[in-house]
Amino acid sequence: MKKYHYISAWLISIIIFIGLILYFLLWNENKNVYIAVASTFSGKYKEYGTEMQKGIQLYVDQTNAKGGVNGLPIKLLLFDDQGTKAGALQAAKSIVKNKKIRFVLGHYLSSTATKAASVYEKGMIPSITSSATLDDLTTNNDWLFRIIPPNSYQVEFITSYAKSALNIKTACVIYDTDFYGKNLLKTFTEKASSLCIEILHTFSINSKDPDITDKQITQIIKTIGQLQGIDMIFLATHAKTSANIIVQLRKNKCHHILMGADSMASKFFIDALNNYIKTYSFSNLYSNDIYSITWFHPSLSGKSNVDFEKAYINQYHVKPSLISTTAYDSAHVGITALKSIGRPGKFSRTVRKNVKYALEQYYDKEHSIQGLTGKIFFDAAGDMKKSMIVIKLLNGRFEPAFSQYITIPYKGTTENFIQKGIDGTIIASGDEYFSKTNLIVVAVDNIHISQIQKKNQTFHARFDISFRFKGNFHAENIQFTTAKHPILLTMPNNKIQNQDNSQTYSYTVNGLFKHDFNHKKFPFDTQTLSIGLKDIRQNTDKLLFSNDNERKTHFTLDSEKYLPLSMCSYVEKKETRSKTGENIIFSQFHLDLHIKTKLSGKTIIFLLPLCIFLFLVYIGYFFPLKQMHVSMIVNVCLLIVNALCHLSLNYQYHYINFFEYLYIIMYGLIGVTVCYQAILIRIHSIQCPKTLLIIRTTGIFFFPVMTLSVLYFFYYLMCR
Amino acid sequence: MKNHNRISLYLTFLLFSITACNNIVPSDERMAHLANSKKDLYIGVVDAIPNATQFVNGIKMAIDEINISGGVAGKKIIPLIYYDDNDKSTSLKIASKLSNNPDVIAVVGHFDPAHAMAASILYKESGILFISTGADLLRYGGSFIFNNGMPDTVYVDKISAFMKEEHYSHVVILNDRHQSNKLLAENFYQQAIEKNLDIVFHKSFSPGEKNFRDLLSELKNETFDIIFLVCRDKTASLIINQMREMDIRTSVVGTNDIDTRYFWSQTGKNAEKTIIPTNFYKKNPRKLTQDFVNSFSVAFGVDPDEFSARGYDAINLLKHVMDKKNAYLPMILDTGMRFMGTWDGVLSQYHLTRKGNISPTALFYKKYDNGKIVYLKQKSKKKKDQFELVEEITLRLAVNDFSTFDPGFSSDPASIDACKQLFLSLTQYNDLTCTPEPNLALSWHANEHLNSFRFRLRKNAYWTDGQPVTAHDIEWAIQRNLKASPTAPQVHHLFVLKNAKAFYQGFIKDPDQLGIHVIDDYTLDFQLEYPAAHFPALVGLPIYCPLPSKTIKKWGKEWTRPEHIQSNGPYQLVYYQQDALVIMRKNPQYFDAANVSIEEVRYNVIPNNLIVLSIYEIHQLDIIGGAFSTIPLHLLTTVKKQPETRFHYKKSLNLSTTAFAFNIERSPLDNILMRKAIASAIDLNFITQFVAFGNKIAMDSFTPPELLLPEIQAHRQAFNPIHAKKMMVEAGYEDGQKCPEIIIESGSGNLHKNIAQAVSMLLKKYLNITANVIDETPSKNSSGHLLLKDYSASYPDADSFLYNWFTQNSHYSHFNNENVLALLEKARQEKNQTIRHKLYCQVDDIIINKECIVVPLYYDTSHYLVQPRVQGWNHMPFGGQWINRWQLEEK
Repeated sequence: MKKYHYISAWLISIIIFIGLILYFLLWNENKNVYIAVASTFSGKYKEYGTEMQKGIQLYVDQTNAKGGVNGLPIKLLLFDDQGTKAGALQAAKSIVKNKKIRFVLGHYLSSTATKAASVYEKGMIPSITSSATLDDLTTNNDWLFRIIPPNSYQVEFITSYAKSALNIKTACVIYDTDFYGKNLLKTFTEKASSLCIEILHTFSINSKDPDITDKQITQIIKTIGQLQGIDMIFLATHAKTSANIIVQLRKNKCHHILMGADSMASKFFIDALNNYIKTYSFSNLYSNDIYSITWFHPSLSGKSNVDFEKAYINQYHVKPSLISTTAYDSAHVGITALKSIGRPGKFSRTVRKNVKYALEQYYDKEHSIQGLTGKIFFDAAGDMKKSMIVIKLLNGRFEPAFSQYITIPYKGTTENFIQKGIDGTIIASGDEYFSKTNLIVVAVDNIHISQIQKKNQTFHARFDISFRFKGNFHAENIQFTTAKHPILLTMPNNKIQNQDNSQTYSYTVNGLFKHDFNHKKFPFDTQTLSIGLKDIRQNTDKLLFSNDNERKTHFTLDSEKYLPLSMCSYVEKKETRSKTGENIIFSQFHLDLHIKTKLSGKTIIFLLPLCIFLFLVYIGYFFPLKQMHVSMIVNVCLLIVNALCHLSLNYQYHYINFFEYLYIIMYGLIGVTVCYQAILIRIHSIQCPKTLLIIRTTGIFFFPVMTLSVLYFFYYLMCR
Repeated sequence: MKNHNRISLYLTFLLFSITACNNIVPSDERMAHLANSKKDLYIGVVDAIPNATQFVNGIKMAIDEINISGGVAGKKIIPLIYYDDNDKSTSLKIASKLSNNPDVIAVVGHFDPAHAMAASILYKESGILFISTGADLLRYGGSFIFNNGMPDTVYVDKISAFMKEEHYSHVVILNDRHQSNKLLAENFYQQAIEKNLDIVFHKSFSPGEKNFRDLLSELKNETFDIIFLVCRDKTASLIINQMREMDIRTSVVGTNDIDTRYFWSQTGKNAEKTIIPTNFYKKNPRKLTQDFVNSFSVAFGVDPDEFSARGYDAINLLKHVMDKKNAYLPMILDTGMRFMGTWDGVLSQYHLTRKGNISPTALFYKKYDNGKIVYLKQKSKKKKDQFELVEEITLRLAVNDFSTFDPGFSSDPASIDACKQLFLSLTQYNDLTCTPEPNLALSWHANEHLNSFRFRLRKNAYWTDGQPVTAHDIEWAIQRNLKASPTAPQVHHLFVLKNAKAFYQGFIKDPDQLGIHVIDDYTLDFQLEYPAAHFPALVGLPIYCPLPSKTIKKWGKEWTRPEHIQSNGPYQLVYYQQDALVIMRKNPQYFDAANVSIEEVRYNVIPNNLIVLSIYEIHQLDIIGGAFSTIPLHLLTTVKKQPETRFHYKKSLNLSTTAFAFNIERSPLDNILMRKAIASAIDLNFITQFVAFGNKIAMDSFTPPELLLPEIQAHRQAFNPIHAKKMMVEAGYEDGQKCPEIIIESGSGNLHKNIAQAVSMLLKKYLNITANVIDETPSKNSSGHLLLKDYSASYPDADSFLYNWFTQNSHYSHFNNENVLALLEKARQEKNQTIRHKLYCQVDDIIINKECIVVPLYYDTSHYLVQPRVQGWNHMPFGGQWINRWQLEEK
């Protein structure tokens, strides 16, 4: 009978156990949030799709680490459109069918996005694209959102730039005969005519046939050579063709300003350009400026981008590309929208509708998501329209041009506003106004940190700083925001006139800076010493800092207590309120230096009494039972000594949280031990040797385990 | 063992039944307990199957609303919800449980008539008010028992009347032998015979039967129009499915018993042509019903059904009686309800009889037609309360002010719009081309010289008192408008008529000398002072509208008061409170009343446009902007961006152009080259982007583009500073500094000042000319060089825009050109529209390009917000919206 009970008890436990496992497995399966990533994961454009996925995956991983969407982890489902329309259609259909999917991120290409868009619209699932720039993609489709500006907007922007910043009066256009080229040509022609830029000639190119292309280019260059008074050539062509044309033009001594749309801003343009340069063994490209346009440049990005880059390199061991950065933003937007709808309901249709509704609620700068590429919001069509960054080709890579137009709020028509419009310092596009701002490239090198003083909360820094600019620069207006005493930049060490007519002024900064030391995590802490600078006289619509992040920076530290870890620099926009109550946005350059506390003798001295206490307490576990009361008395004394140590240390080092925790743990350990010993003595008195043996052995093993796990737990809490 | 179990089960049940029957709180004890009780009020709710209907949700909602608003007599109402699973013993158990609870004051529910009957005995004994939602219990009568539903006799009477009305004359009756259904079928039989319906077949079957093929095959031999089916939902679904299987496609009328989720899901497409009478019509245009439907959908995410409305009404009726009697004892409520007479619930109005019948008065018919449920005969949209707003049928507008409803005196956009709704004009304007179309006049003919017009009027136009609208009314109206005191603001539009001006000035006293002659009641001749091809457009103005002479003579200035006014347009005035509200309703006498979809139009008079916008944003106005209250300009960008309103935003052109005119008497503008240079230096694109945003650049013409045919519009020299500079050099001013200072007269408006400022800066930048802006309004004595003004048409014809502009020199440019005058006169004498438009284009070309007298800047634009439910909306650039052609989309 007993055996029978025994077996049935076992059986029941096993069944319950299996049941629980199954339940949790299935339960977990239902408790994920699914997001589809539709892109090109095979075929010719495989690379693009992978880049996109990497960016999205990183955001998802970060979100999951922070608890996912309302406590539920996100899972990505990848759908390969193979870069073809048929593939896109197939992928879109399977996505719509899968009721678990909340929204779609993708597709990469305009052609695939167009094909899939109608399926998503019919299936009522929101999709966010981070790369397809075709104009009419979002028109009449409420379910499609795009976090980058469409082609025509970009062309309008760069055309206005050509007129206002470069004073272009005449232009020629070379356009591809396909849809993309013709579309760009149309927008450029319309905008040019309204801005009174005369188009002297348009040349068509058929990029599909390489033989014809080369012949056509030769012919075009010949004609251009004969034309007089061309200020600029606009390239409405794809990346590879543009690279070919540029090299050929320069080789044939056509030194006009060249301008192209976003196709030229891509990595593929640069690759193709380098290829052509090698093929034709020609390098003098930069005799005059070559411009393109983009929505993101790392030199103008802030802290969040530095963190993103770091995390990206950590995860994938390569630097993020424009594609992955924008894809990361698309995931950010989609997931934030999903989070904002609260706990998603049971019905997929309702959830998808709510996600769409949530996305629509990001409709202007005040109602937007701060992404890596700037504030993200959508207009009525579902498009993102904002100020673009005009970039210039220099030494094989694109850098922001020295004049930029950044969006400004409209504050009513005043004489000043009209005058600026006439002067071209403010341009208008749609309902938005953009103000001309001068770019100053800041580079920092030879950083030496010394005299880190925790008491005074200061450190001393010496570093070389250089400002590259066109036009005027007033070093005396530069204010170091974290300087203890004002540091004035007066006479530059060095003045260089660069090839592109820009100038570089170099200074050496030597001064004391403030830092709010935080020792809560001592001795496992890292400190970020921050140096910030801004121009106190000119806000962002006049001056914009750019960070020269290409050069390797030397960073040394002279300190016994700290080790240098890393450094990073970035620019950010800081909003402050002026005396008149207006909000002023300043561009601010930041230099962050990460340092780490060295494990020193002093740290060990701090820890030594605790180690001794611990040792003494543990010895008590091995005391013979008859002398157990002696150990108990010792322990009680230890408790008092511990309290004394705690109080005296706390008085001096109250800011070190970790020690505080260690002493509290110590109280606990001693307390537990005393109770344990009391129990032992009691059991010993009632003479129950078997139980006594079990409890003693358990205690001896359990104490170190408990101590280590509690310590580990606190360590984890501190270093998280 | 098995037997033993069965016996014990049976004994338990027996024991339970006995105790259940006996163990109730008797009526008097309950009253005594309740009178002293401090507990909350308990109401039993007995539904059949969970979630089969929305009955319980309706009750929950009513109770929640009552409790939130403070409960009854300071007590909360607590529902005790049970489900009897259509099982008699469960039903009885629930009844006894409720009877045993001394705190229960009422029970609502028990759908099955037989169960309700049994339960009612218990409730009656224990003094609980019982509102049965299904059974016709009152045949047995008695206190405490109420029947919430139409009595069978009224029900079948209405159904048979419906069949008669819909011309279903040959009827088949199929019913199960359930007591109540049998009685219903019999009642129907009698009513049908009384209404001369032909009962071709009448069969009954047992309630549990599953196969009806034999019965249906018998039916196949008969010819009939409709089947009246009286049974439960399960059986009905079986019969209809088998019927459709056997290709019997006749319409079926069921009872509201089968209107359940089970029936619709099981019958599916086979339910085609099934008609179910219901007391609940969710689009019933009553405020009570609509509020209920909206709150219910919000609360539960589904549309309410009849059961939910019934439950909701039952609880609210109880609350109403409790409030009225200030008591909650069942005994008092019982008498209270029996003597109430009528009560308004969400279903409809209820009729309460002394016998205990709580009967909704309205019956609607829903039919499954072409895959969806449609309501038949639901058009009883007559409202009891004149001021109750029923969103579904009312177009809600906002205006800043109303000056008059008298078409002779209307001149502001709001009044013109109201007059368009109330009065017929001779012609009306096409919404796209602005050309005159027949309205009161069916046709018109002009003589060769275009100075005499004959209009033939429609014979089916009536005043609201039923009198026909005749040519005499127009003659009288024009005479009255000419003589009116104070002067009608638009009277100059009548001066085209022969001797009208002299008559107006008093030189002629005899009205017969006026150029207007009534040929017969429906034919009217006009003689004009001069040829006027645009005359048909002119008579579309409100000042030409016929007026009700008798009414005006009788009431004088008071004639436009709602109680006196006689009108003939698509709408009639029913209410007017100055500075607050105008209500207009569809005019049944209007000749095209059948095509007027919107039943009611409300103009809310709100002077503050910010308030108007905020009311619009909470969906309590349908249209703002344009002729109605305008959108505050500084909020336009927000409105265009906000997701709530961005898709509502619409913009349309008005017949108005803002332009500069050159004063050609002032040097250096007497030189055409200087005029051209300045015109080429004005960047229109810049002005519309930086100053006059939202307006359309006047690229092509001075005359608003709607007034010209698009294909023949002139083109002008675009902005070209290089060209401008060249011309200035040609004019002898190599450098702008030598050029005398240019004075720009902008008028006092901020927008105009800014435009003038921008132009002065442009001239400085491109031509180095110094220009000085003064805020004088351009006039005949203007000494400025450039005069900025808005020009608009007073009737939709290019003649209105150009003729007076030129002949009266309202541009003050001192420009005189015989060629232009000849072209304008020629256009007045030209019948062919295309040729006329070409002539106007030539004028445009002369004044813009050849002589360069004006620099058109932009065409004025109206901005609107239109709720998506307004279908067919369009903008009328020249006042008077086509509300009678719009529709309101049903939710």
